[in-house]
Amino acid sequence: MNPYIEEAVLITRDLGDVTFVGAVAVFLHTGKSRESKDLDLVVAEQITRKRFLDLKYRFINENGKERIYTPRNYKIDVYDSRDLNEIPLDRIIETRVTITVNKKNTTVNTICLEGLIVVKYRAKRDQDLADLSLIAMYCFKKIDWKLLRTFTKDDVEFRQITETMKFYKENPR
Amino acid sequence: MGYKDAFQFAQELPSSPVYKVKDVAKYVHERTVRRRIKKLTEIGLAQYKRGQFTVKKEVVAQPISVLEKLVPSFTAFMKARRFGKSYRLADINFMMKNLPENATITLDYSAQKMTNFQSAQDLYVYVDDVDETVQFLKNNNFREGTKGSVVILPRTGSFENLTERIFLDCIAKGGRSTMDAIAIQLKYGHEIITKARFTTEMLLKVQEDLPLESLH
Repeated sequence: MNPYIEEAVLITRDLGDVTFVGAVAVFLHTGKSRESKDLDLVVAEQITRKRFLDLKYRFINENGKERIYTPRNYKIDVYDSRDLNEIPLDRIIETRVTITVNKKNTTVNTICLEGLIVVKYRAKRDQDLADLSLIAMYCFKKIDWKLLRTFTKDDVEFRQITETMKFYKENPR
Repeated sequence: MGYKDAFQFAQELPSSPVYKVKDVAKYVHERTVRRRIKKLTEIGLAQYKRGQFTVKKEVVAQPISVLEKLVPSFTAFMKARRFGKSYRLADINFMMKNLPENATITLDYSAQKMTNFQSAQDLYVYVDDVDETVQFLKNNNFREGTKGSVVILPRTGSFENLTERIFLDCIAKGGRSTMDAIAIQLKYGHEIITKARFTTEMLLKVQEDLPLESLH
């Protein structure tokens, strides 16, 4: 199993009800991705510092910011109150999908494909556009356009995303 | 180089994943726009289809002096040939075990080995004789297409300073490889001569995510 997915399984086992977003989500949907050693996840309720410490997670100060490390030394970024690129966290949790990651039927929750596309489109960084291109290449037929529309602000944004995904599908980067 | 106008045109475009020629042509004559896109397409910095185009903004944002050094990488990438058999890790393992003599690995796998920053996805290999390597892969039931993970590149330009070459390749590739370039610069800055330009946002992101042990 991909080491990042293996870590996602262990984090799920540790923390319970979590939903992965970011590069891990891209991998879960496409089977391809280039992950850095950090995992982004959404939780419905804030996890207390005590609970993290009890689970042997560590808090480390880096460049003036406090970071959380798992016992396996992976950095995690936990979203528990701020929206993710203007998508409310409860919406991400409500529409998430559960993906089986091995033959033992181990599962991991992840943001739905449509939500992921909108998050990546809004981020517009180079790495996000590269991820969108991967999604277009490997998952274009799986996109539920009606669901995707519900994540967008208006028809203009929906049309722009549609055109971008179609272009990326026809022109792999 | 003859690409200066095209680079300037690309640098001045607003940030957008996909552009429409007719929208851009509101400010510049359409024929000029198409000429500029054609120039960028020739070296893989733009893709055009049916009145729409994309530009590798992060790459064209580099100073002209850096872009000139990226030409060997652009040339090689334009001639890249992609292969797959099982479309799994086994393809990469096979190629790793059967690397041609004088082959040089670049991009994903070399960057991962150097920085431990991002996981690798595709195996990019520079070879002396592309036809020979392609024939070897075909003889072993690899198929050429757009989804394979083994990418064969013709050896183009200088490999004297391999760290610098991998760094330049990462800049030229753009996308997630830009972050590899930043990680390489952070870790091997003393071996790199070219002064590339990156956004503060990207620099901070890589600095934050780069494993601590890799900076020591």
